Order: sequence, then C-alpha cells, then structure tokens
Amino acid sequence: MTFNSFAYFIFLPIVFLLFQAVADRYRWLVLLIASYVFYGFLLQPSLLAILAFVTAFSFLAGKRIDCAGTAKKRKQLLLLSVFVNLAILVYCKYLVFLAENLNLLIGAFSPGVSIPEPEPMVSIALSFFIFQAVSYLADIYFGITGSEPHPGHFALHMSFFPKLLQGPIERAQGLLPQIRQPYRFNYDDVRQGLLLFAWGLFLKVVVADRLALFVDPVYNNVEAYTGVPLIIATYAYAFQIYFDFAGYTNMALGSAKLFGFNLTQNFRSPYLATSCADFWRRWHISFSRWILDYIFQPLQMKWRNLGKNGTAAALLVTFLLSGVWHGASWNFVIWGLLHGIFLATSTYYRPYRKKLHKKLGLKNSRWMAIWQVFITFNLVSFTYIFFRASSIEDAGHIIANICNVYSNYTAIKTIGINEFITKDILIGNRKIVPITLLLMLSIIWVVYKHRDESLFTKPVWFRWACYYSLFIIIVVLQISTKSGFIYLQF
Amino acid sequence: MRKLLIKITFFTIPILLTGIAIEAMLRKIPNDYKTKVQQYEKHAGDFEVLCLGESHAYSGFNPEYMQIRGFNGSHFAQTLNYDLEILKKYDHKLQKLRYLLLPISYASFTNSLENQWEIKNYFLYYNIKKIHNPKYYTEILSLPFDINIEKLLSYYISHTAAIMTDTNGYSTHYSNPNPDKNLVESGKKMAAVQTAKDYRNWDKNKEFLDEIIMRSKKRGVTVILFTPPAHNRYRMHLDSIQLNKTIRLAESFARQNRNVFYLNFLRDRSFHEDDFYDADHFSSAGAKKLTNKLSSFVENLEREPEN
Repeated sequence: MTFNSFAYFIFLPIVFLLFQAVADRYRWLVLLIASYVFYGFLLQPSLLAILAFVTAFSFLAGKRIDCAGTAKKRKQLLLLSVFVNLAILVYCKYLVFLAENLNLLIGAFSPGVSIPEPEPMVSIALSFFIFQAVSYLADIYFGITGSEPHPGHFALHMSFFPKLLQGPIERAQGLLPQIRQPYRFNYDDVRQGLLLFAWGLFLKVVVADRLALFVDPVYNNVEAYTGVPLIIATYAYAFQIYFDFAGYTNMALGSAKLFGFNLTQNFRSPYLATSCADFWRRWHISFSRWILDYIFQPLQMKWRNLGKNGTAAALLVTFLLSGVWHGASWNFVIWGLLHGIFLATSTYYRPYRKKLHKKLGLKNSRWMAIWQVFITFNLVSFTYIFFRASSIEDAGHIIANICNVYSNYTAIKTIGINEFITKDILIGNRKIVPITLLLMLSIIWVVYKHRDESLFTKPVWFRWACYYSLFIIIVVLQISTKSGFIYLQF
Repeated sequence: MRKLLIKITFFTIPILLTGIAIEAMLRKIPNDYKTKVQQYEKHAGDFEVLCLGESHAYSGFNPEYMQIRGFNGSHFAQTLNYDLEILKKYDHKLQKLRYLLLPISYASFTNSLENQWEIKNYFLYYNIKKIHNPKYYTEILSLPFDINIEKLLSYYISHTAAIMTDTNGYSTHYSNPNPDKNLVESGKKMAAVQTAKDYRNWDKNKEFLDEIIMRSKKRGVTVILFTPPAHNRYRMHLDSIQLNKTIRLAESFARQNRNVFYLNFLRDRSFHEDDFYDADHFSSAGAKKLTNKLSSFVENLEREPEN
C-alpha cells in the first residue's frame, strides 16, 4: 500500500476515525497496530518480523546503554547494538551484491570457483528504520536523549506509518515527545494535513509520473539515443526524482499532521542551492543530517589533526557510504563518490573563491548567485546519470554520447515529447482549450503559493475553489500508468 | 471534530454525486460484454457450438460459417479461468451444447488476468467476482479518467458506442481493413508481449483447462482445442520453449481424454497475408477460412461413429 493507492485512501480515514474514537491513553496503540497493518500490506512477513526485532532489540539496548555504569561499558553496548542493527541491514540488503562481487573477484583468480549467491530479499523501509534505531542508540550514548521507558511509544516511534517506508528519518528527541504528549483534536492541523497530502499527491501523480513518461523510454533503452534526448531525459529525471520524493514527503507530513504529529521537512528548494554543500542542506534533509551527525562529524573529529585533508577524507567516506545506503549497486557507489569528490574539493577552493568574490565585488551579486545555482544544478544532474542508469555500462554510454552534437533531433519526437506536452492537453482525442490549461496552471500556482497556512486566512469561497480545483486537477491530469515511488527502492 | 466532519461531508457530497452520476452513465453505455451476456440469457439454450477464449478466437471464429448453431463467447484477453467461470455460469442454460472450441495459443497457459482492468467487465456484466478489489466493482475506478471521459463523450455526444461484436459474438472490429497493418512490427511486438517471464501461472491454467474438460465430459460435450494459425512474422519471434511446452500440453490433454481433440493450425500454409488483420489476428477472410476448417472437423466427428 503506497500513499497514492486506493487502499490508502480507505486506510487513512479509518485509522483517523479510530484514533479519534479511542481514549487518549490507547491512541498510540491504534497507530502502532495501524503501522504494522500498513507494513503488512507489502505481504512480506519477514519484514514485519525484522521491524519487530529491531524495535525490541533497540529498545532493550537503549535501556542498557542508559543504565551502563562505565563509559567503556556504554561504548561497548553502543558498538554491539549498532553492529547488530547494521548487520541486519547488510544481510537483507547487501548480501547479494557482496556475494556477486566476491564471485567476480574469486573468478578472476580461480575460474569456475564461486560461492553460492543468496536469493535477493525485499528490503523496503529497512534502511530507514534501521538508521532511525542507530540514531536513537547513538543519541542515548552521547547523552542527547534518555532511553524511552514506554515500549509501546518506542515501537510507534520506530514504525509510525507516515514515515515508515521512505522517511523522514526522525530523531528520538523530535518524535517521541510528540508521541508522549496528550492528544487534542486541532481542526487547523487536520486542515493543513489534508492540504499537504493533496499537494504531495499532485506532485507525484501529475508532475513526477508525467516526467517519467519522458525519462523512462530513454533510460530504459539508452543505446538508442545520443545527444539532446539524453540531456533532456537527464534534466527531466532531476525534476522527476525531486517531485516524486517531495510529493511523498508532503503526503507523509500531511498524514502525520492529521494525528497531530509534525515530521521533519525533508526539502527546502534544493535546486536553488548555490553549492553542493548547500544542496545537501536542502535535499533529503533528515538523511543528510543523519550522515552529518553520525558519520561525518565523528570522522572529522577523529581526523582533525589532518586539517583540511581530514575534512576532505571524512566527506569522501561519508558520501561513499551514502551512495551505498541508497542501493546495492556500483552505480550508487559512484553517485555517492561523485558528491563526496565535489564536497571534498570545495573544502580546498572555498576560501580562495570567497576572497576572489570579495575582491571582485561579487559577494552579494545576484548574477553570481544565479551562476552558482546553474553550476550546482548541473553538477547534481550529472550525478543523476549514475543514479538512474540501469548499469555502469548504460551510464558510460550516456556520458560518452551526451554531448554528441550530431544527434538525430527527430529522436526527441520518438521519445514521446509530443505525449509529454499533450498528455495534459488531450482528453481522449479532444483537446482542452489552452485557456483551460492556463486556468489549471494558475490554480496550481495559487495553491502552491498558499500551501502553508496563509491559504486558511483567505475567504471561504477562495479556499474551497482551491480545494476543488486541486482535486479536479489531480483526477483529470494524473498519469494512468502509475509508477512506484522512487525512494521506495532504498 | 464535528466541524471537520460537516465540512468534509459538504466537500465530498458533490464529488460523490458526480461520481455516482458518471458511474451510472458509464454503465448504461453498451459494450461487448453486455451484448454477449444478453445473447447468453436469451439464446444459450440454442447453442450447439460454443467458442471461448481470447482475441485469437474473437477474431478467428465466425459462427456464421458453422453448419450448426454456434456462438463466439470469447473476449479480448480472456483467460482459461474466465472461460471456466462462464461455462459454470451458463451450464444450466447450455442444454444443447455439443462442442466446445477453445484456442490454445502461445500464452494460454502463462497468462493471467490478475490486476487487469478487464476484470471489472466480468464483475459488472457477467457477475463473476474472482478477485475482491473495490475498484473492480465500478467503471469509474477501473479505468483512467481520460478514458472514461472519452467513452462518455463518444456515446452521449457523438452517439457512437464501442460495440465490436455481432449477434453471433464474432468481432466486427476485424472485419474492417486494418489501416495500420504492419505484419513485421505487429508480429515482433505481440510475440514480445506474449512471451512469459516465468511460468507461475502454468499449473493454475492447466487446472482450469482440466476442469473445463471434466465438466464437458460429464455433459457429453466434445472439446476441440485448437492452436490458431499465425503469420510467420509472429511465429519467428516466439520462444520455442514456451511454444513447445504449450503444444505438448495441449496434445497430452487430447491423448488423455476421449472427449478432447487437438488441432494445430499454427503453421497452416493455406493462410496467406490477406487472411490476417495483423500478425496474430484474423481478417474476415481468415476467420471464414478458420471457421470452415473447424466446421469440417465437427462435421467429420458427426459422421464418424463413436469407437
């Protein structure tokens, strides 16, 4: 069951009504059961068992760390509990990848010899909740938070269904206090939650899925394309992944808001970033904060004697691991490494760049900002080639041919640009007159501008016109060949 | 909370009413499934030959050319599962049935209608409910919005309904010339679509056919399995493992059951380019030819005394 499925549109109201109906002291139980039912819709009992085990183990480990007498014991318990959690993640998600590569290595030295490769395992949500467990244990160790005394509250913190499948990766000190708080029905929260959810649904089924129509024919058959189609498909993917993930996040935040919970906002206009470091402060914020706090900062501290070299090395390792987290494939490793390289090199040239900008009077220049945004966007889009390509070979083909100026421009037509443009103009074989399309775009713009609380200060006719318009736009313009959420695979 | 419930009710009422109106309008539109159900209800008692199956039968069997009263009960993408369900549903009405024709095509044992939009037609018009998913109970939720709007506009504004079946159940769609006829492209494309990635539906489909044969045996109905002819442009792209497995299974059913016969027309050289609408479906000329062959076989069976 995903947020854009019919089943979820039935599930969410039922859970909401049950949540309202029960006494406050049992509300956590309603959400906990709902979360396991939600996860159970994947029809993978092993995942439910793993979630339950990780929850129980981390709960008990957290208590032990909190109660440990000595610093040495605390550290040992932390390392052991983190090791167990990460071992589960490696076993479920990376074992096949490791076995395949080990066989390649063994095969190079001893042809015909190989180790048995395990069956691939479904690992949806594993990366997210195991990282959440690790952050909980680390925060207890560092004294940032105490262990949670209530096992049910902790179980809900781990499994809360709006954030279970694709995050945000919530910190204990963010979500647990909200779970402990008594619930009071708040009409504005519900209203805001519904609007956020609808906006996220629009981003996913109208915008992201529409962009996929353009990206998939190229990236699923890269050998057939050179030049301009590859460039357009790559840029289109940059926006597809953003709208897909941002759409999901808005739906998650909106769903949580219905129950009075505020989850972490995961995006802050990432493509307006003026540097790769700025990009990671705006993109998948809960994840980038996690790797910053639990990988980069400890490494940087450990290698502080190496100065800038230590920082650069810490960044490389952090983003290499970030790539690995995203997927058991060399494509993701290279993607992460590229980001690591971009960030690592910036530690060296940034001071010189600042001096230069100051000297040339470009420090607060608007044009310089636009240039920086342009460069950053292109660097990030380049890394998406590896992120999206099906294999290293495909990524190599794209890079080798992306600047082929002699590409066949009629290929643009064959990858469906007509469909891309006209999909929202045609209903069957009839065209919506352009003015209707313009009206729809205007409504979308208005809703976007007011998607925060300012919409609720407008007159009732304006608000309801926006609600109905958004609903109609989602129903009319949704792409019928639905694709799953991109980040669900991680 | 009360305020919320009131506002949500006021918000959803117009949407629900519109949805109900659209659903009612969609269900009123004539379609092939409705047409065939009406034929079953009125005339099933007269059918002596019934042909079920998918589009190969839909385009290839024209009861007009049978010497005895026949009906084409096939639909696009109809699987053995639904062939069986239709037989079960009309078992009590098919009193005169003597011959059951079933196409055994390349994908007959590997296909499944799971999660396909066609399921709603069996729900709504045949009242056959095999998979319980709420969307299959409605027209409006089964298909994309733009397709539903197109259907409404076509019927209520342009006054055209997408009926592609005559009173004998034969598809009229294939009677007209194909303006986009391209045997090379269609052959390659259809073979790719019908080549199975795995055989997880194999055993179930085998069971469905087994049950069809058992039921027919009890009723004294002769089952004629046939692999329809196909153009070389389609055949050359078929996976030989899947094809051979399918043919061998059909042959084994015929060997093991006295009331079952198997006819393999796949490489029949009497079918030429004009007999095909596309690489694996028939034009009206092809349907006439195939039906005549099936009719001759039935006549031979009628003439031969039982051994």
